[in-house]
Amino acid sequence: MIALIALTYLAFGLLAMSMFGHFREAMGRAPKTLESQLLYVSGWLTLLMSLILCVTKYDWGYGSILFFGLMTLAALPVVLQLSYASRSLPKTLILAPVILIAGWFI
Amino acid sequence: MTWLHTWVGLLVCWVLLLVFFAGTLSYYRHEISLWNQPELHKEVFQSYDTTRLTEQLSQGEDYLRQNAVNAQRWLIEFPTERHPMLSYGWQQPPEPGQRRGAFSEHAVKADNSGYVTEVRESRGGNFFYRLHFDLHYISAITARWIVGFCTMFMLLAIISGIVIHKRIFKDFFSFRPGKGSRSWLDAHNVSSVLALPFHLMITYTGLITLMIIYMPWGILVNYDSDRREFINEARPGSSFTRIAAANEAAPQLPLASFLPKVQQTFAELPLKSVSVINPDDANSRVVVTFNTGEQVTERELFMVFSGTDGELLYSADNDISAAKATHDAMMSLHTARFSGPVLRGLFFLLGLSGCVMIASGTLMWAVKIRQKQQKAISQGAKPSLGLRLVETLNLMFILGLPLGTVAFFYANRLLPASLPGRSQWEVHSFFILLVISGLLAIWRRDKAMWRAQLAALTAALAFLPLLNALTSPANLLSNFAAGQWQLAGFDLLALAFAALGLFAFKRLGRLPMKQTAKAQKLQAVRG
Repeated sequence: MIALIALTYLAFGLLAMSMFGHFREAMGRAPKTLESQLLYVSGWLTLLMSLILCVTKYDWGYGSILFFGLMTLAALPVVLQLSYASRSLPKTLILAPVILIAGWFI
Repeated sequence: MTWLHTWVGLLVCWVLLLVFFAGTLSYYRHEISLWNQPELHKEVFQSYDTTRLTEQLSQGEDYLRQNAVNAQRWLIEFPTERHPMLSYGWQQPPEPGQRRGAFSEHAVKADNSGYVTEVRESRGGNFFYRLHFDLHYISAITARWIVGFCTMFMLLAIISGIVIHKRIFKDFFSFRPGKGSRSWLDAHNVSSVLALPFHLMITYTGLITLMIIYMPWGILVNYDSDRREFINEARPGSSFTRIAAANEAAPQLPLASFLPKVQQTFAELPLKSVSVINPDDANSRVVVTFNTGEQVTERELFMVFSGTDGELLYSADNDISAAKATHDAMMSLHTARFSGPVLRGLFFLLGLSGCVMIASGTLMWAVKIRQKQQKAISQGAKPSLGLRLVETLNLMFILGLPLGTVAFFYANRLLPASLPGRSQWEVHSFFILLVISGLLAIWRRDKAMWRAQLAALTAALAFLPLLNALTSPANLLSNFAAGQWQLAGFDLLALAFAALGLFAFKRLGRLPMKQTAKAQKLQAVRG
């Protein structure tokens, strides 16, 4: 479960970073086009991966409902970080895969 | 479209806030009920144990035969995740003029050394569950029509909201605090969009849960105005359990003797309860209900036997029609009975975001209208009636609802157990606080009043765990140590909300009125 939360958070963080304004707030510079595109694609792929994991682990019915709930839970800290501490977002996004892997093995 | 969104939203938003608020709390209905019965906080917790079923059944049977004389129904409930105790209950036949007879329930101590028989009278989480669609003080049918009407408005507001919000993806993560009505719009957008699938689902399925009331004609035409016949056909098992007593004593087979048959059919499912209708009567029926755990279903899975000869009369059929399966899926999505602890927490969070959506929407309206009238107001004119009305209702419902809820919990612990109509007085306390909050808001609704009510709420929430420790045999630390998460979670949530309240209180104090958006949003989180 921890891994799933970290993964979905990562997905929304990447998607937020793929947007011009949010990238600039978080990194202090404008993103290159390629960077934006990479973040965008990887964000969507990560989100898709989260859905697949939910469904394989919890079956279609329960898993898909859980996935919708997780999306809200995961997007909320991204919004709060961008509002109050935008510089922290890149750091926590690097941390997320670590938590993901740790959560996976617990 | 903007006009439509504003007015369908504003007209019914306070009823909707009440419905969303009570509905959100209902996700923890059983946990609240348990908290409201401190007599059960010690000695009774146990988990389901397949090896002890036979023993528990025969013990319950003996106990009920002795203690529940002339009962209309026995109910033996096995421990489940959310009802972690074994209990023996029974229902008396209704007195003249009553629809249902009185129900009593005795919990078995976990070490089987005795029973907890004296439990205070409280409606617990069921109050919020009922409030959520039956309201209170008015007839249930009237209330359901009102709630249905408001829900239809909600659906309109959500759909028109999606249409007028042209930047759903561009503003997906945008919340810009400290910018007056702009921040309110952001808060409204974020709380709506992040949980949009939930809002749509819960509103639509809310209408579905009561569709037979709102649109009965199809059934009335096809079943010759006989609703009962439709229900019998839609829920085939229910007709077997509604049988009247023959008033003729007849020996009943021991309950444990039904176990092998039950386990043959549904070997993998744990039992939730065994009930006996018309015990020791020629028409006795034994109903075995299963715990469906995390299956996404709302259907009660049960088997019905004849109590005198053990004949199987009905067994739930997994093979249901597409229409029924669709209806069942929608109902279960709404009530989320299947949720494990994490998913339940998520549903609670989604419900809260619905409350924020409604509260931020109506606060935004008030902020905007006040801005418009600012010039006239500073020249000494009175704010318009509409603005005063909206501001009063905002304060009354956004802070009054949580204040009332906390009052309900305090009343639960402080009212004497012998008070006649005790459970009703708990409910009255809820509404008394709501009304006090409203009266104060009529008198004043400036920042000082928001802060005063917020301070009262925060303090009351922060002391809830202390109140629990003083009036229950267990407390936060002991529950924590014992892994009793339902009770510990209640106290922890109270503390978390108190922390949010404190944060909002401080924000409101620090910032001038124009820049209080962020703080007020946090208040909204609580509502």
